[in-house]
Order: sequence, then C-alpha cells, then structure tokens
Amino acid sequence: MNDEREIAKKITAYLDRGSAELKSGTAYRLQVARREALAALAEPEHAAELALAGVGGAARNPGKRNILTDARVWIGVLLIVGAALYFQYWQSVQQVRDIEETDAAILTSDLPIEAYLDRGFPAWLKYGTDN
Amino acid sequence: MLIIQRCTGARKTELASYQEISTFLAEVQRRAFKQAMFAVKDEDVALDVVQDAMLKLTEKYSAKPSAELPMLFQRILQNTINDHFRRQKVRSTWTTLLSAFGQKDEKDDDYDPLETMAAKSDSNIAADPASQVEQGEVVGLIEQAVSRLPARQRQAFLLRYWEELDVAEAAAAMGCSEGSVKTHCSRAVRALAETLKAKGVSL
Repeated sequence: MNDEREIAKKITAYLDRGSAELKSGTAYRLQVARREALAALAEPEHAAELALAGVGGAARNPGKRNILTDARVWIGVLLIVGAALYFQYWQSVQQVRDIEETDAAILTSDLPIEAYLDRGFPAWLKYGTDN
Repeated sequence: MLIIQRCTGARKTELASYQEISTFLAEVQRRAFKQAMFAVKDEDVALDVVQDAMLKLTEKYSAKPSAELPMLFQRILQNTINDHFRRQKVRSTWTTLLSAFGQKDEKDDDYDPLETMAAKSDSNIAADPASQVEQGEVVGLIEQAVSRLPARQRQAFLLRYWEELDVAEAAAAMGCSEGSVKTHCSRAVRALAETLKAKGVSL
C-alpha cells in the first residue's frame, strides 16, 4: 500500500510537470473558459446585466442548446399537427359511416319510406297507439 | 467554547463564494484539461469538455459548500467525458449504418487496415526509449502510459492520487463502491509501474 502511494506520488509529480508545461494557446483557452464559467456565476448578482448575460449565454454555447430545444419543439408541433389531422380524418370517416347506418336502417325497416314523409304518421304514432 | 464550536461548524457548511470558486477553478483547470486529454485524446474536445464541466459547476452547483467543490467538479467532469463518448458512439453507429449503404465498393478497394490500426502499447514504434528519456521526455512517456490505462483504472488513479480525493469522494465521483476504487487504483499503479519499467523509465 505504501509502495503504491510512493510510486503514485512520483508519477503524479511528473503529471504535474506536464500540466505546468501546457502550450500557451491551450492555457489561454482554459482561462477564457474559466472566465466564462465565472460570468455565469456572477450573472444573478447583477440584475442590470441580466439582459446582456442572456446574450452571452446564447453566444457561449453556439447552437448546441438551441438546436436541442428547437428539435424538441418541432417534434412536439409535428405530433400535435399529426394528431389533429388524424382526428379530422377519423371524424369524417365516422360521419359517413353514421349516415350509411341510418340509411341502411331506413331502407331495410318494415315501414315504407313514405311513412316517414307522411305528416299524419307521427300524430298517429302519438295518439293512435294510446287508444 | 460553544461559540468557537458553532463558528467552526458554520464555516464547514459555508457556501462557496465567488472568489473561492474562482480560485478553485484556476487551481484545477490544467489538471482537468489533462484528465480530459487522457480520456478523449483530442485537444479541442478536451477543452470543450472542461469548459462544459466548469459551466455546469457554476450554473448548477455554486450553492454547495466549498468543501464539496472538488468532489462535485470531478463528478461533473467524469460525467461530461462519459457523455462525450456516448454521443460519439451514437454518431459512429449512424455513420457506419449510413456508410454501409453508399461506400461499399470504394471501401473494398481502398481499405487498408494498416492505415487505421493503432500501435500496441508495448510496441517500440517510437524511437529508442533510452534516448527519449535522455531528451527529457519522461513526462511524455508517463502521460502516454496513463492515457493507455483502462478508463476506470485511469479515473480512479487520477482522482485518488492526482486530485487527492479520499476513497469515499473518489467513489462518489466515479459512481462506484469504495472497494472498486481501491482495486482500480492498485491495478493502475501496478500497470503503470510495469509499463514504465518496460520503457526503461526509472521513477
């Protein structure tokens, strides 16, 4: 165990040296990244800068988050439109089927179709059956 | 006495201030970048990973006590690296799926495994180790050895010995048990010692 720690210590000393010798460009980009992260932290404390912070937030992560939310929004919209279209189609089919059913019932019933057109027939149904 | 106790108790759970987070990030950023480099092996991607991890820390976890920052940041960093690999896997699945339709003939003609195959870790494709050592490239050799460790072993080793987290914190950052952190650590050290010995690096 102690041996392990000893070796690890020596190795990490070399790793420290390696990380201290980063290319200046890389070190600079790391600094920029840190500053941007800290800007995100500072935002809520300065209410006046909130509008600007929003702009910074969008520019900070170009496209990444926007595309994601956009894609979700678009999928949602497509689903809703699709559902509406399907409902409309289903309703029209259902309507036609209802009419067909009524037609078939009228045509196949024992009463002649003229009976429905006769004004006296509903009256006869109402009063005639009472007697 | 009671007052002193209360004071120290309060300090322990005190929230991290702007200055503390700033100092912490400044201190950890280079190591974080190297860690990401060992894992993703691409400078731009590694920088993106570190930036994402820093942003997540400041956006979501700045309300945590400062004592928890190292563990939290390491957990975020490991997750961000894992996310990168997950995205890459999905992308490569689509790429191979799509390229299977279009470029089959071309592939048969031009494909040469020697162009894409990586050298084995024990091959001496690079120059003679002794001369490399003499040229002061021990750091490079060690970094190479670390980056060739299996991912979990490397994570455990770096968190425990480089970031100096304790076993419990490293386990929390890696999302595994303390026992497996210890196992990964000792395997990593053994593997590193063997690799470096084989390359002629004496620690």
